[in-house]
Amino acid sequence: MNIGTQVMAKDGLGELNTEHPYTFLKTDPASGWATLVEFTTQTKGRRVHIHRLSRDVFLKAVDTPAGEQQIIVAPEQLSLPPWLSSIEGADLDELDLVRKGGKIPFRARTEQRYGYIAELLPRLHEILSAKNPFTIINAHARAMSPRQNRERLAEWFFAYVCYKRKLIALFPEFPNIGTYDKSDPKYSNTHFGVVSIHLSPSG
Amino acid sequence: MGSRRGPSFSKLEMILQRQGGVPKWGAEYTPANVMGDVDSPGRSRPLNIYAPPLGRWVHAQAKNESPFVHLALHCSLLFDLHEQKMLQFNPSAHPLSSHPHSKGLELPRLRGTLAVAEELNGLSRHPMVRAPKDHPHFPRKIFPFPYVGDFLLFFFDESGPWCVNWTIKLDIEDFKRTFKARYKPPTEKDRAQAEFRHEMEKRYYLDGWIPTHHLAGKMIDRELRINLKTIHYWWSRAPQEPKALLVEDEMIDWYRQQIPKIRIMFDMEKEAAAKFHTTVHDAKWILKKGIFARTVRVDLFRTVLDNLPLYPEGEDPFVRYGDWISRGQQ
Repeated sequence: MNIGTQVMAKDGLGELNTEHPYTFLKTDPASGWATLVEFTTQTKGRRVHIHRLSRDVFLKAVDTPAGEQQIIVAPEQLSLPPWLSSIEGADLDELDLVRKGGKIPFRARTEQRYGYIAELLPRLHEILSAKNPFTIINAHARAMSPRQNRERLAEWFFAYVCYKRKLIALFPEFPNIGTYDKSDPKYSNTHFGVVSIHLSPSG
Repeated sequence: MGSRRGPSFSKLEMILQRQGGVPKWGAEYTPANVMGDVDSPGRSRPLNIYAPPLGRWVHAQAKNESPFVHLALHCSLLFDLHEQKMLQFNPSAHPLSSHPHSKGLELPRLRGTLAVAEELNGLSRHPMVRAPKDHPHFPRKIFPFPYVGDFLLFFFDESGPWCVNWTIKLDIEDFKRTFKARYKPPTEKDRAQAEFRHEMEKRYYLDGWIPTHHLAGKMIDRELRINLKTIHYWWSRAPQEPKALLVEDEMIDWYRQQIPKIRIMFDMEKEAAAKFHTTVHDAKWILKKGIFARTVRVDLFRTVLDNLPLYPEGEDPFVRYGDWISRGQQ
């Protein structure tokens, strides 16, 4: 199991529930923890949760013979964070190429976010071994100029680390704009304009 | 609000107002068709691209044209670029003749599209428009309507200036059909019309020793296209703090020394910002602007991204695509 492998707890295990996928990050013999990450959407916005299991419990749950494992590798490994699932399989560069214009290229947007987390990346193991990983991330967010929102910075950091260190994981949640149900009768006289490039990249 | 597609007398007046008389250069140039003149088809994605050396926005009519605009602006020999350039129907001076770079040169004249069409036995194919019956000077008179070319590029090096004409389509097959019939089954008549159109443009410019290249969007390497588009963004904007301009040359020299070490791009930018006391944003701006302006040479056929290593130039894009910008035969 590698950094970024998405796993599921079949029958629940400790604080893990049965439905959500978790992303595996690290087992640490020194501290005796296994660290998993969960991305959720709550009323106040998206949040990152760190789940910690005893390393022995985790390894036992994984290393039992097939069919009896409590933690299994998720059958579908997503290449993008959950909030970008609508463009799963898409190529950011292709979207940039068919774009009409736009103030900032998508690449430059993701590069800007990368700039804010770049200093944290070499400290990944220190962060995961810390008692509360968010203390280090929050302190970094405060020290940035301009000062960064700590929840967002934590999300960028873990999204980048969990999804193969590709910049597309830092892409803002643009693809979901305007994807509400337009079949409602109240929109019958509404002209909706050109289809978003996220939905039809061929332009 | 856009107007009708196709030739009309009012459009002829508009094109002549924009491009008639002495050719204009730099910021004063106006393309024959600009974005918003006609309602473009729903699927097309026209793009305005800002070019600081020209001081104006270059109009790319469709997404397949924009990579060529970026490539042309990336070339350091380019001194002007005329998109949507009207082909003169009457005999006219060489397109370069009014520019100071051509001083003292003996340039051939162009015969005009009417003469070329006659040579090809296609005068009847040349578009004509009729003035309205209540026109104060020419009621109901027939006028030729000009063809419009895609891009005329102007280059300059130690042996003098030269021009190149680029015609761009989505697919190379599109040169064998007219725009009107692009979704219809091919017919011999339509093919003859399209071939006449392109042969006419080619011969029109050959009079002035200007080669014409038929290009399609996919002919430029994909990685180069996306790199140029992203880096153009940095090239076309100002720094965050004006003091970045003071250290620009020094920082470019430092970047040049760092490139052979193949470092992560963001690490270099961060170090440069600390060394020269600028913001990271401005350090980034200087590097990427330098890459676009070719003062820092990197491999643009590989992905150029902040989190990846930056490689020194392996192949020069203008060697790979050198044919497209080379001087015409006299």
